[in-house]
Amino acid sequence: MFAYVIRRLVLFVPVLLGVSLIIFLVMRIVPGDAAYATLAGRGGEGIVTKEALATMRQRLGLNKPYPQQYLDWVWGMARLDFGTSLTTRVPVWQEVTQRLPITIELAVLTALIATAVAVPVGTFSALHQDTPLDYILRIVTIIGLAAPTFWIGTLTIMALVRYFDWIPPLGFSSVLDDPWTNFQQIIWPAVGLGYHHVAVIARMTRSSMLEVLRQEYVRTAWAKGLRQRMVINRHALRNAMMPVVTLIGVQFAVLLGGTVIMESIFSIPGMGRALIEGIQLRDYTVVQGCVVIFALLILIVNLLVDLLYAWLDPRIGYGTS
Amino acid sequence: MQSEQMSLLSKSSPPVLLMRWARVIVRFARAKPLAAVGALIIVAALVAAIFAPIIVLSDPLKVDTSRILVPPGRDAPLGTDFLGRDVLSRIIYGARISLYVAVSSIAISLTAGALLGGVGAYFGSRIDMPIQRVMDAMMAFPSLVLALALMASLGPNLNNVVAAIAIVYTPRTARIIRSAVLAVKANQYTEAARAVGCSHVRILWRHIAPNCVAPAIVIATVNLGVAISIEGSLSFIGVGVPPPTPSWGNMVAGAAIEMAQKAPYLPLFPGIALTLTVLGFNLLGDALRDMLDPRLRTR
Amino acid sequence: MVNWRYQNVVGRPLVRLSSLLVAGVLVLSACAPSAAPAPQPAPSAQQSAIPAPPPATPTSAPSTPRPSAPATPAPASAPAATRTPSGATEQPKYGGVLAVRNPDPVSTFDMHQATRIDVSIPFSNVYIGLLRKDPVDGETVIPSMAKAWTISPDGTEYILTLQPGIKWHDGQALTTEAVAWSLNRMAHPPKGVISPRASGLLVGMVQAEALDAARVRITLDAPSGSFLDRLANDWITVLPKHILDKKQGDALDVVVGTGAFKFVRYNANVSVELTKNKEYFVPARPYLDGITFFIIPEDRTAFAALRTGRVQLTTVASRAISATEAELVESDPDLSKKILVERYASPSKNGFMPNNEIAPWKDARVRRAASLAMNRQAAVTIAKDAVIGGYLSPRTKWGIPVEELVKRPGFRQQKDQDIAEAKRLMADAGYANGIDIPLLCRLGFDCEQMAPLLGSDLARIGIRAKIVPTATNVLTEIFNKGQYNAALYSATAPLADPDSLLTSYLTGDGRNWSRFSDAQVDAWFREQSRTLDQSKRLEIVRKIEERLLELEPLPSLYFRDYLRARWRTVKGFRSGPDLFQDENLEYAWLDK
Repeated sequence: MFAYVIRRLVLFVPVLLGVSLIIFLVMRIVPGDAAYATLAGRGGEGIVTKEALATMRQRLGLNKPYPQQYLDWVWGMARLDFGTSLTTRVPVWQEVTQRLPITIELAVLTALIATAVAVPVGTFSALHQDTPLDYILRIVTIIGLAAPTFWIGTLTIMALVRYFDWIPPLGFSSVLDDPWTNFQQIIWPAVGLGYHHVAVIARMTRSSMLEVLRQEYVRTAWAKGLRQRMVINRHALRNAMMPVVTLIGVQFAVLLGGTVIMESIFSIPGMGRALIEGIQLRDYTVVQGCVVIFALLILIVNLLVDLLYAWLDPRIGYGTS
Repeated sequence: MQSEQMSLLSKSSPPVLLMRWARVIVRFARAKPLAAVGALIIVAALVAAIFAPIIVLSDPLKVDTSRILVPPGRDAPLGTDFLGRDVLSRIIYGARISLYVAVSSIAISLTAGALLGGVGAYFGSRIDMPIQRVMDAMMAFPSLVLALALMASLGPNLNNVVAAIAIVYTPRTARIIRSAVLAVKANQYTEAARAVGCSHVRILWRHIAPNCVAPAIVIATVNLGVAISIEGSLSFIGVGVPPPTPSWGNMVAGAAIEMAQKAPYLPLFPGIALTLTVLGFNLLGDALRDMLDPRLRTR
Repeated sequence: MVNWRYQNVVGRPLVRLSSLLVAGVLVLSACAPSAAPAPQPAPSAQQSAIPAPPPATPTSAPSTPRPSAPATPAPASAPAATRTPSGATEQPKYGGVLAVRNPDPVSTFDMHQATRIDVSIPFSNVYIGLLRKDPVDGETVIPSMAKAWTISPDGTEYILTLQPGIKWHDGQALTTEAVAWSLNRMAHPPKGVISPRASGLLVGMVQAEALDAARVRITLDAPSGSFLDRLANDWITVLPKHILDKKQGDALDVVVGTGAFKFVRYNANVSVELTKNKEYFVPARPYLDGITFFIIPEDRTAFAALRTGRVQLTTVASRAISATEAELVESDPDLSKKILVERYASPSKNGFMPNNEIAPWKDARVRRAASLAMNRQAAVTIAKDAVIGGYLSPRTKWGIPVEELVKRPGFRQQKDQDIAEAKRLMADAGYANGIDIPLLCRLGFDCEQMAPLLGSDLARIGIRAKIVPTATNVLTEIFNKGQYNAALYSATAPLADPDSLLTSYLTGDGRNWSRFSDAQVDAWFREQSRTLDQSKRLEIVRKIEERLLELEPLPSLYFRDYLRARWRTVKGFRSGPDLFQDENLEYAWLDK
């Protein structure tokens, strides 16, 4: 098992290198570089003169040949130096350490809410299969599968503005400093984002549950006369959870993509918003850094999920494969 | 009697053919009602997309300052937006954009994915390994993030959206095709075919390809819905289809403020259209998956 | 029954895992630095106060800043200690923290090197300059750190006398050396320092030097009718030499100024917090206890924040509030009671920019034909908050008034004669069969509405335009290199003064994207630039505009107004007419 983990961790490196190369190249496909954006700003009110542009290019290190820029950056990453933001001159690592916990809080909270809602809903649906209630739940669920995140988010915040004349407090308060403000700030995007994931998880729970319920041992438990609740809790649910756990891991990438949108709509200073701002201002270092961190997160979560799966299901032994 | 009936049917006069198809459809609908609903939605979207210029009430691009933010009523069934443009017409044209993007990008990604995944898997690990590494690296991005970065570089433009989504979904498609091909390869008969002297092309065409069709169809249908969703997100952020071309995503983006003030229903309709269309593809994809390959249950 | 093993395998670990996760979330979010701003008092939605009795403090008018005769030096002026704003006779109230929107994270602390509003909006309150514009009328130059000034007879020497006792926020005294050093740094940045905006404002300045402990002398290379105005711009600031001397390049990491507000902290990506400077050299000001600038990049969210009162003042320029949002506010009785929308002339121009160096646009007849075909009335209607103009905004005192313009061909309502004339010109120039051109436009409003309108106008005389949407930064590069045929033009000048407004028509100027060149225009421009008499300047500027209207290098579509919105409880100043003069909130106060 240990060897497996090590092997997986080692495999991170080529994947991350590949990711870094891809994003490095993507950001440089077309001209119109960061020096312009840094001077001109998004509204275009900045002033760009030839001398300023040349000095800015020099300052930002954009004059070096691409291979050297890439190697400098990758070598820096090995030492946890992700470069400096081209627009705010703040080290990217500092931005990451400030913003990443926020995004993770949003992602984890969303996942927890989604799971907490979806599992009972899916179970309930499975137990009452084909009843009207089941149909209603399924319809609500499949709508959640299809409804785009940006739409739910926009409707949420604009409904808050229109009907309650209220938006969440601006900025971001840590949950330890000011839990109530933090709650107000994060609950809305988490719920909005969670809707889609509730749908996905509930669906999987339902079908997984249905399959488990058909199994021999469950029927045996019924036959033995065990109470329904005991059967569900002790036998069926746990076994049904395994594909769900994998699903949560797979959905994590989608979840991260969703946080990007929600952070933008609700003005939460997380990694997703850094990414969007970086893209709009052509701040290469920030975009590259965010993307690499996102990729790393996804790899870590996938590994954790695989390990969790192995732990839950003793039949799967990674040590021997 | 049988043969008479058969010969009658085989004459296939139009009304008879129609009835035959009708019976098939009704049977399908009764067996899988959700899939039928999905198919219906998709057909409606297709009709809207194809016949858009004919069925719209007014030009979706024409600015009419005399009827700004008119609530839904007789003239404009879904109201008008902040430039006086009819929302329903724009939604119908939006269907055209969304379907164009979805179909083109998924078609490209299918082709590329089939080539990369299938050929790689077939010819063994020397070619397969590097391809797989690159595909893995591409899949380590959340799809929206990669699409976003690509669009930011390429510039907001309809065809760039198609290219970006195609690039993002190629690795995922390639992976599915690859596992299908590997499954076929595991069977002995490909080896046998090689032994007998069949060329690679023949084997690919006659043995491998047919087995990949099923998973390809399933993955394509689901990805069509996802492509529409991603295009919407990109347009919402501002790096997708640029205004004034109506895309459901940029319609929601443009209507957000109006919702807060005067017209709460305005961002509702494009979002509903998008949701329904994606829903249609999801339902159909599920049904297809159930029919064609139950092994693909885990999404 | 091998499956029975599953029973208790998952139960407890699942609970353990969940609690681990929750704990992890708490730990992680605790690591996230709290970026909570200071609690804001909710803005009250009261009506504006009943005018108070006349202000207790005498208001001495500052001396005229524009000497009409270069022969006599302007008399020294006493500082207007407390000047009541907005013409109303309200007494400013003290206290309160104002919340303002900043559109982007702050890109640098060094205001000399900055060009963007995300720097000027917060830091115009911390760094100030020698002069400023009156917050009431927005035009008159009044003292800031310089209490008086004289101009030499030939107009090339300005001597400014500083207020005594000005201190930096870190306690050190302000010296005239530091002032001179700042001016020189802005006008002639040393190697490694860029100053695109400030150096543009100080064009013509040769050097600044400290004469003695109280006076600074600025020498120009030629007399300038706009120099005083430019010196009064918010971007001309004095930065701490004693701190910057030890920093290289763009490494300033502290914010120490002489302004009415002190820098407290910058919560990265969230907010900038300022607090009242109790040792400000004007004891009666500022009125506010502090200002918080919230960084909200998304315009939609910013509007939601304004509407719900989380911010009480928008940012400036094009990102402040859109025409649609403004209309929504003004048409809603509840909202318009709470929120005020201000309009002021922006020095920006929107027009059709052909590349004057290439065919067919080299031929002035073709340009004139295009201008005749353009339907300016429709453009103004669609653009909202816009006016028809020639080459200078008619809202400023420099441009030809609208009433006069609309009588002329091309600008008048009836287009039939103009179209006929345009077609004739096209035929004369050899384009009777028309021509196909690509039309570049900026993403967003330009491409969305203006380009189709312009396209249909031009199509009537045979110019078939294919619309090519392009990103702004790419456009700027294309324009700088001149690699285009025709484009929709939309640009702002940093100052509402002909010295700034007309530079884009000078031969070889960096902003002359249309690549127009006319020796007469160049000559007249030089002349008006050196004229100190403002009415004489106006005469010359008129001649320039008439000539430009004849040659039509860049036919205008409209001149847009800037919009700014604020809660009515925020008083003390008005926005405009210059873009960068109302960011200094020294005179602002909250009516709670």
